[in-house]
Amino acid sequence: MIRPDPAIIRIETICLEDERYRITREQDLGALIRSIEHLGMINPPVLEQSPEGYRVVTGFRRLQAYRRLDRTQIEARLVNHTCREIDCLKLAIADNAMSRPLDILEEATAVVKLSAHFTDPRTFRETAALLGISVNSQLADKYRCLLRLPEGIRQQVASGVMPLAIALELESVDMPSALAVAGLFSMVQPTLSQQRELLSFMRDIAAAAGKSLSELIDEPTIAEICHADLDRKQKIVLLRSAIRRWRYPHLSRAEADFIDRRKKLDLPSGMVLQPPKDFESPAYNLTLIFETPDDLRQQSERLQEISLHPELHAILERDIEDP
Amino acid sequence: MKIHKIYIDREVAEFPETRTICHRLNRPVEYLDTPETLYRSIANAPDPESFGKHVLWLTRNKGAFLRDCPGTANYTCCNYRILHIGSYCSMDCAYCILQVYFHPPVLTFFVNHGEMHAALDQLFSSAVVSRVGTGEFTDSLIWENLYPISSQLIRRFAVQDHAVLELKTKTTAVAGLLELPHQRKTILSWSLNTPRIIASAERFTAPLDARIRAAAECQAHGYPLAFHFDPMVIYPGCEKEYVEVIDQLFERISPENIVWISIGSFRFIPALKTVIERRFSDSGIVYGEFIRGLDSKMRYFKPLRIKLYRALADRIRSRGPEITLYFCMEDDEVWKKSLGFTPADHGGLPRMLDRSAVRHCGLDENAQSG
Repeated sequence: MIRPDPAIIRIETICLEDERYRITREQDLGALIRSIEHLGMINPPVLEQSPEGYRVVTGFRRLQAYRRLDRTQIEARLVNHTCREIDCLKLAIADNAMSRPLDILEEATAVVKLSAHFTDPRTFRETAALLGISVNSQLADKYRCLLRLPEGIRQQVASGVMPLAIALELESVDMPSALAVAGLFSMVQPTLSQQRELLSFMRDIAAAAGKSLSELIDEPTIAEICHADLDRKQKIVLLRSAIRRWRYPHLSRAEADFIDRRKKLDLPSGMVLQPPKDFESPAYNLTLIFETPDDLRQQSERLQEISLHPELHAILERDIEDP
Repeated sequence: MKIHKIYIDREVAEFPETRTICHRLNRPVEYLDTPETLYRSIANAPDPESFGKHVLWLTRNKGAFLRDCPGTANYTCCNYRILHIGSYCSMDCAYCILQVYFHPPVLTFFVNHGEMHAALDQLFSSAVVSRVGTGEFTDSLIWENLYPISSQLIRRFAVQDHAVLELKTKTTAVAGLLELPHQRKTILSWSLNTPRIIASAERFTAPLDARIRAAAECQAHGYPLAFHFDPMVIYPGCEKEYVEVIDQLFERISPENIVWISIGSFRFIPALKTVIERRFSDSGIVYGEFIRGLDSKMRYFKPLRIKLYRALADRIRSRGPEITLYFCMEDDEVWKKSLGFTPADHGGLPRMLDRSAVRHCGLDENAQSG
């Protein structure tokens, strides 16, 4: 596949702009330049001859470093004339994946480029595995979506701020909205489940109001929370609470009313009153904790009083008021 | 109904019902041993729910023709019996559960009517009151141009006095039914909604006024009537608009001719949300204040349901105090807070409806409540 003897190639004949085999994303060349200056080229790049000169199969960063060092020629290895595009791609992927862990964007790039050469999912999966990448067709589809997203969102996924699942949901929203959501999540850094909840609620709120997500995120309520002098956790609590109140105004109000009224019942310690989930079932849950028969008797007497308390009746009646 | 192609289960190719439908429709026909290829072409269509409305699958009903309403746990069901004549619908309502109930959704008409009539024979021979409807898995009146199924059923129910047939529709396709000798054993019923919801979420259905006019025509021909405010949708100003629908209804319909009015609000299995968002992006009906109900369906927050129900029930009662009003799939708390009683206070919901059917449709008073 690769010719045995290295060749000396003039740097100006190598087209770095042709990135069909590029996997790496790393832009910082400092350490590599220092290494080349100190030790020389340890592992020569692999090039493919093209009508215009040479295209890079492996070694994009090494070549950039050489250019930065104003070198005019480089020792490289050339692929055979019989080497097909898929063979070059395999070399490029293996060169990266076998020497270091790929980040998610590099893996996505490798998978998407490789998958374009296969129609049979099994052969694709097996070839990817040979190159050090564990992938299936579904993941390949997800990676394809990921690479279509704006750079800002891709970077958040690569840096771990935004889970892949959330990024993929943003594929279906308009670009300014996707970027606004990414900006919001980057600022307050909610967990995956919190991001899911916030995104789901915000999408519903925006759709109901006929607004875009970016318009929603620009609302003063959200902007104030984001820019408040609070720590990350406090911001998340406030943001979730505000968005939930927005999405479920009556339910949120009912929950707040319940908590107020329960306070007024002045329940003794060891007595816990819980509402039904979302107030759908009529059945409330009262837990009594006691240690002695005397405890139980006292609790039971207090229970009698509570059963007649007007606040308990108000809780059970739960008439609705507009928020 | 705009059918582009008829697919025929080879097993029913020679049935007279099949021949009648093919003759009437005059569309290309393909015979299939199994429906898999049809299902695949629907599933692969860009809009499978719409594609399934333009092909017709003629087959046998391999299950029971008469089945109990599926109902759900924790909420009160009316114990209506479904006569399963076919599935899916040529109209296109955003909230329609049939979009996700069948896999894939396809207009299906069962042609083994011999078995259907045998099931009805058995039903009529029992001495219990039954309420039977064809409008659960399809609209009752969309089929009449293809095959006079409703006309046949009206004649069959007319010659017994234990069961009533309810034909539920959003069409005005009643012309062929008006002169039939129904003997008041068939109730013609309409799903009603506000003009805003009809316009935004009920594609290809008749406008409200047309439905009420069709009901008035049936009333003039002696048919008992029923109305279903289900699904009611909550939006700003909805109470006023639903009350206006009641007023419009009673301008033409006499309360004495109404066997029952049912009330229910929009509820859906979570999977329906994405279908509605995809197919009815301007509708907005899935963005209400929905919580997960005790049956795992999404329902409006209960106090919101009760508030709307009260407004509607109060108006109906002011126009027709004797009308049997009931809720579809609600619990005792909703009944009590909206109507002031629970079904148990009247012997249970099925008995309430049976009594009304006996009174309005002249069923045998000695028949036992089902």
